[in-house]
Amino acid sequence: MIALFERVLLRIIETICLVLLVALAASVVYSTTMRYLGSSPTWYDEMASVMLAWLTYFGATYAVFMRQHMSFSGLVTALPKGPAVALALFSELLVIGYFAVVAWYGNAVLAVAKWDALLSLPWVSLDIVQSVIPVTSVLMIIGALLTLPRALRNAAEGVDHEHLEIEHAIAEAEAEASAMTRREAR
Amino acid sequence: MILLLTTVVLIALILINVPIAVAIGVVSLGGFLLTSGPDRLYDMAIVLYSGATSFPLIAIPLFILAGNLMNTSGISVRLINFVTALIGFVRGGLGMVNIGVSMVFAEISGSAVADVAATGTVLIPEMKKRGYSRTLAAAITSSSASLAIIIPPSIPMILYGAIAETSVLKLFVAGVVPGVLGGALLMAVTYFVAVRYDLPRAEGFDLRHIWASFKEAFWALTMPVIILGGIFSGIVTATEGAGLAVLAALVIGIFIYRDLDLSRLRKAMLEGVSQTGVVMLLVATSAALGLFLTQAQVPQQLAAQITEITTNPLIVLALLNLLLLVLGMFLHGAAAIILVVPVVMPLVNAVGIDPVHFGIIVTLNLAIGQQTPPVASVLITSCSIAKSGIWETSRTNLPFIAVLALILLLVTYVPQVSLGLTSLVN
Repeated sequence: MIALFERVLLRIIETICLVLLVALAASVVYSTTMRYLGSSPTWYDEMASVMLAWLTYFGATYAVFMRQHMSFSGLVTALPKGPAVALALFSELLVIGYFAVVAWYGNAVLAVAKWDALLSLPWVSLDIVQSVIPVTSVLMIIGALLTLPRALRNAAEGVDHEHLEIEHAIAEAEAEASAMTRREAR
Repeated sequence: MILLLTTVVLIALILINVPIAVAIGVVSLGGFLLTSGPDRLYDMAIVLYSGATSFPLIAIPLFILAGNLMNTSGISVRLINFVTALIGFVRGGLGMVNIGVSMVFAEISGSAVADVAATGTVLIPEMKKRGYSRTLAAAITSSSASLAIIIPPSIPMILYGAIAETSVLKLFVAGVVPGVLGGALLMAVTYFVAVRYDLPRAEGFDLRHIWASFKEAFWALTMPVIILGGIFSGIVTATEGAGLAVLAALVIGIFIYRDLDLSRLRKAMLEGVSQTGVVMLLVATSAALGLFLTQAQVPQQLAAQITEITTNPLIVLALLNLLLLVLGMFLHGAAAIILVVPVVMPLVNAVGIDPVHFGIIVTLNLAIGQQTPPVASVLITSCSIAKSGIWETSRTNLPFIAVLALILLLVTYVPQVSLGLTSLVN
């Protein structure tokens, strides 16, 4: 049940991220084209910045679910099992506590932001735009909780996050190279 | 005192494996609570949003996406084949091919690890097959991939440009001469090592083969021409160039090489999303740390204290180089730029160092940092592919690191090396 919930939530977050990335890339290409045709869209600068902020926070949420945020695990993995798990648990609590505070204050400022709107699109109030902070903070807490057992297991087994990432990147690149060789052989 | 306390807590949190972005956020949060009370946390929430809206940073997700698309659409392999045909006949040619391809290809996407994996998995096994030792194959791959950080387009330069409020275009132009010079020197060292250890040529000189591989790689070669030609000539801005790079990578991958299907496209995009989220969350939380430190007058006080001792830019640059080299050993490139640049910029401006010049110095220091354990992701990736030990490889890597250090000294004390071409662009 929890695994299904995680899968569905992750799929929703992935979809939002992909839509934002495509929208951002398309708006940059569209605005470049229109600039050369002599009619730059007025909404471009402001909307592209908003899309970047949304992509930042939904992308960061996706990275929390995938446990890909930058960290230094060299010292913790060198510790015995007990202290390593204790430190991992402390680190997780800090992550959850931090995003809880950000969600709380991020939500509180929306009450003021709703009286303001985007300059180029006046019908979009700033509380909608800035709601990305509390929404993704809550999602990051959920992501941290759902992946907590994996993090503690890795800490107990002394698995180094950076080595995992490197092994994954090498495996991906090797698969790409051999797939290409196969295609060329055909 | 505040800077010292902030630094100590930050280092302690990073050492116990708290994600760096969260560690920065927690330190800022604690700083606001202790110095101004909980009311300042409303400002922090606003800055966490506005810190992620900096317009020049829009180029980051787009270059990351273009780099991932290039990684998955066979562009790198075609480049390798062409460069091998072109310079493979020289002694130690495969090592030079590695350097040449890295200069064009590495550090485009947001993940230095993914980029070095893409070229290293093709070239390192081939180098080993032709008699290169494991450590030499890993050292050449690692040093050349790290040098690529100063060759445009470069994500760290875009980050620096946004934080230091400096022209990204000028940073890109300023990286060209040191990058090419560094690449040529790395090739020269490779040649001497190849002669000394009697390493073979990769293949004979064959015009027909060069032509065939050129035809195959033609569209791959148009990528840097489109991106850099467009940006340097002023036809497009850096952000627009990044958008064009995505479009070009899509067209080449889907319609010309036909290596990019829907599932690969989705995978490349999701990797781009994650890499963007990781880097940009750092940027956003560091905006909160910047607000706290600026309110506490920390960067200004640091600048005042150091300028009381010396205002000689040469000495200040030596101190900054030392700081960046040490930090580069323990922090990933993006994190080091985000943490250090806002704090030292008032000092850099106070002693009259050109911010573009300093940008190249910062990125070069980080290139050296990628070669020095314990945090040396590019070196570790190269060693994993070559199956060589990190410390033995580091020994073999010394002459290559010496080249990077020489370029750093040259760039630091002869500003014209980096700034010479920048007068050509506005």
